[in-house]
Amino acid sequence: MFQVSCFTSSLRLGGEMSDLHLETCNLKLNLIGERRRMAEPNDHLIEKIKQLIIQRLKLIEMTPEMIENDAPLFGEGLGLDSIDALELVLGLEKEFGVIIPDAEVGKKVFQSVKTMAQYVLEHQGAS
Amino acid sequence: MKASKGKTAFCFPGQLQEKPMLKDHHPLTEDPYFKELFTRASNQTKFDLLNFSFGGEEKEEDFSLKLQISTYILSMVHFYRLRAAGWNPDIFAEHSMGVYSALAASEAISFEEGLFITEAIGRLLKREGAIHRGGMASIIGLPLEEIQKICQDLNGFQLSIANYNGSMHFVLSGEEEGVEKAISLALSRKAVSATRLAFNTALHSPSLYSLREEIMEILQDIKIQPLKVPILNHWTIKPLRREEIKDFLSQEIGRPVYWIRCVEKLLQEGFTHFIEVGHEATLTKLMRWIDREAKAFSAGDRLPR
Repeated sequence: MFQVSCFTSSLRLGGEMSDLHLETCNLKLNLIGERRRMAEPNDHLIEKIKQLIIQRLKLIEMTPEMIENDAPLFGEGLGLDSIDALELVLGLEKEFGVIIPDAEVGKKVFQSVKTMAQYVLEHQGAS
Repeated sequence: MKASKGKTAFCFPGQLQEKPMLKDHHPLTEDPYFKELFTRASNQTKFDLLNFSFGGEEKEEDFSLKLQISTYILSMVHFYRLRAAGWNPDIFAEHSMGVYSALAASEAISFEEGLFITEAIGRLLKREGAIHRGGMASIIGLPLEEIQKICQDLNGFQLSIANYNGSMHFVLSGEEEGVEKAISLALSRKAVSATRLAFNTALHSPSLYSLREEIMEILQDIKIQPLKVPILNHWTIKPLRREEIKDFLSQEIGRPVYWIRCVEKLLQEGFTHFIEVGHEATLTKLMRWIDREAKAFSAGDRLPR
């Protein structure tokens, strides 16, 4: 939203952006990026992530309410394994357009529903 | 009770990767087949398999061998439970060492003979692992071409593809150092996962092909009976003939497992239900890759209805 208004104001100045304008825009854009990174995923996104887990992994006897936001997905929690991880990698790409570039990132992202949602929030539209 | 109209395949998985770790309250502990088969197997093998399955020591001697035997028994327990629940399979498919339980379930051999073969071949693998340290790695998220390239790039470590499990799931087998390098290479090439399996032998690699005569000796006193349920041969994609079973067993540990071929063939033949006869759900999960619509369950998770 801010990106658009900033760009519009520079157009109003005759299409030429001064260094000061550019700097201000960049600063504000950085702030937006920072806020986006800090933002908490909302309930809707959390619910969508849970639905994705249930559908991709065919956990037919589970409902979203049965999955805790912070519970570990692998090992002791939901008990997922590396075959499941591949399903989730593909699911995130298909449903949200978000790419998990490697196993290292995957380990961090697939800690819980919340970390998955956080990653989607930060990376959706980035790729 | 079985309520399907389509055909049903029972799928016998290979070796567990972890101890079953059954808790005291696990439903299997009250199961009559479980108690009976574990007791018979413990008597025959002289291993305390119940203690092993409930936790036991952290680092155990003969860990891999006990895992192989426990896998066999658990598959047989689940087979009897499924049968008691009314499931009548049209065919058996087997993955790796799952062939021993598939043979016992088809009554080509007895439970005790299956146990004897599992233990004897397990001991052979243990001996081989002590002489030629090998290993296996499960690599998920890379296509076949990438896996082949890893084997080529690590030429000299006798790496080969041991399992063709799905379009993005393969198992590599070879010298231990090569397996470790393959894991690093796979991760650097963006595999979703690359991990060691609980083997110190290069199972399903040509290096074990030389054991076939010793395996034939293990099998020499066993008389193969007519199969009550056919078992799909994953090399020929045809049912195993009774007279070729010993040959199959003697070569099996030195040749790859073509699991994906098996499933694709069964789907073509109109199979709709794939029931994993084991404690985990690895084969069930692989089904999601091959056909998401197929009905796949693991008896270890629950008895399917």
